[in-house]
Parts: sequence; structure tokens; C-alpha cells
Amino acid sequence: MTHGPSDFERDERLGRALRQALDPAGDAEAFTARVLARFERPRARAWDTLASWSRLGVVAAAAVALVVIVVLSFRGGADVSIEAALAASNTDEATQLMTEDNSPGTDVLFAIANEDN
Amino acid sequence: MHNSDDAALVERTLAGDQNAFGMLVRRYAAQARRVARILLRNPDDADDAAQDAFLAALANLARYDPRRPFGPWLVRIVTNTAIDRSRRRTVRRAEPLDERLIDGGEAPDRAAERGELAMRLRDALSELPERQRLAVTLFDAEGYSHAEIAEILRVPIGTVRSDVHHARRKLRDMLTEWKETVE
Repeated sequence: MTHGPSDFERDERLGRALRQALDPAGDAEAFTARVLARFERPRARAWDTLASWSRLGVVAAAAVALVVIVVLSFRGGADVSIEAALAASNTDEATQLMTEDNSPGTDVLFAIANEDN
Repeated sequence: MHNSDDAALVERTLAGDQNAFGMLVRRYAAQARRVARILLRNPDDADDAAQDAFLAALANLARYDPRRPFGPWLVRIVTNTAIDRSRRRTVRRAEPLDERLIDGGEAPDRAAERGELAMRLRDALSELPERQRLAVTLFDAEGYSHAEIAEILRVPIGTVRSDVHHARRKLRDMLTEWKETVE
């Protein structure tokens, strides 16, 4: 061991002795299994987190969609023009009521009220 | 080393193939554990560091350049992980019995002798400066070139040669001394 190879060549005897000295005593397969188990754990946790996020996401998206529908339908109703409403109703009475320039006089309203009583 | 194989396994791992990662771990487990053991005398600490290193390597796998050999890249991670652990760990002082001293299959005196030699070598290694320890083990035991070790340790190649030279001289002295006492 005192007369070893040059510094550019490997000292096989020393290398073998070092490997023996440093070789792990435990089972290699058990070590690999432990690494893979640790690899699996955070991955499973990540999927759980994503799954919980997705459940929350579905609920939140449904709520947002509902609000959007309500808002749009409300705004849609306000945006309907008189002409469109008339076209939709398409009745003479409605047309007359909506386009009548002269609103009924108070005497007419009183007469109707008295009739009801 | 298995350069092209390793690159393929890395690619498969990045694509989500867990078996490919398992094959990489199996291929490099012994080496990673030995390298960690150079820096951490307690074998349990060394194994923990080697495990951490594999997971760190996995987390950074996208940064590995497949045109370069995988071994030095991994060994650098193992080295950093073990050094980091050695600096912040709570020391587990109890050194377990060397299993080779107690398991069968070999004549008890021969096994004891080998166990004794291993123990003396570990003691001698622990007396060397950290970089010399790594340099001599990576060169003589793990088969890396001076250039690869220089890259792993981030030092000039001349420094690696010098470290290997000095470490060998001390280890050989120790081994000669031990041999004389045994004979």
C-alpha cells in the first residue's frame, strides 16, 4: 500500500477498502422503497390539495355564474326597447295603452273606482 | 457510468414515469449513501441525507443537462445535502455496531478484521479535511475523473489532484500502520 500507483491512476486496493468502509449496512431495496415512499407522499398531498381546490373552485364558479346570469338577465331586461316590447306583445290594446297620448282623466278613474265599489 | 441510459431515465421521470425514477435511485443508491457517509459519520444521518438528495434531485430534474453525465450532477447534490445536514443536525453520537462484524457467511476472525479495517479507515477519513476526503473517495472508490471531481467540488483540477495525493498518503500510512499491528 505504500508504493501505490501514480496520482493519475486509480488505486484499486484503496478504492475497494474505501467502498467496504463506507458501504451502507442496510438493505438497498429498503432504501429505495423509502425514497419512493417519500416521493409519493408529497405528490399525494399535492393531489389532495388540488382536489380540495377544485371542489371549492366548482362551488365558486357556480356562484359566480349564477350572479353573472342574474346580472345579465336584469340588465338585459332593462335594455329591451319599447319597440321590441311592442313587437313582442303585438296586441292592439297594448299598443293603444302604450302609445296613447292622452292618459285617462281623473273623472274616468273615479268612475271606475265607483263601479268597483 | 450509464450516461445515455441515465438521460433516458431522466426524460421518462420528467414525463411522470415513477418506475424510471425508481431505477435511477436503485442505480445510484449505494454511491449516494457512500458519499453521504464520507461527510456524516452516523450511517442513519448519511442515509437521511442521501434520501433528501434524491428528492432534491427530483425536484430539480428539469435543470439537469442530459448531455452531461448524471452521476457528478447527483453527487454534487448529495455532497451539498450532506454538508448542509452535518452543519445543522443534532448529532446522533451513538455509532451502531458494524453489521459486518455480526453477520455470518465469513469466518469470524476475517470478518472482524475487515470490520476493524473499515472502522480504522472511517476514522482516518474523518481526520482528513472534508475536501480531501471527498476527492480521494470520489477518485479511488467511485471512479470519477479529476475533471469530474473538480466540477463536483467547484475547485480547480490541480486542487483535486493535490487533495487526492495528500489524502492517499495519509490513508496509506494509516493502513500500513494498521497492517503492521495486525500481523
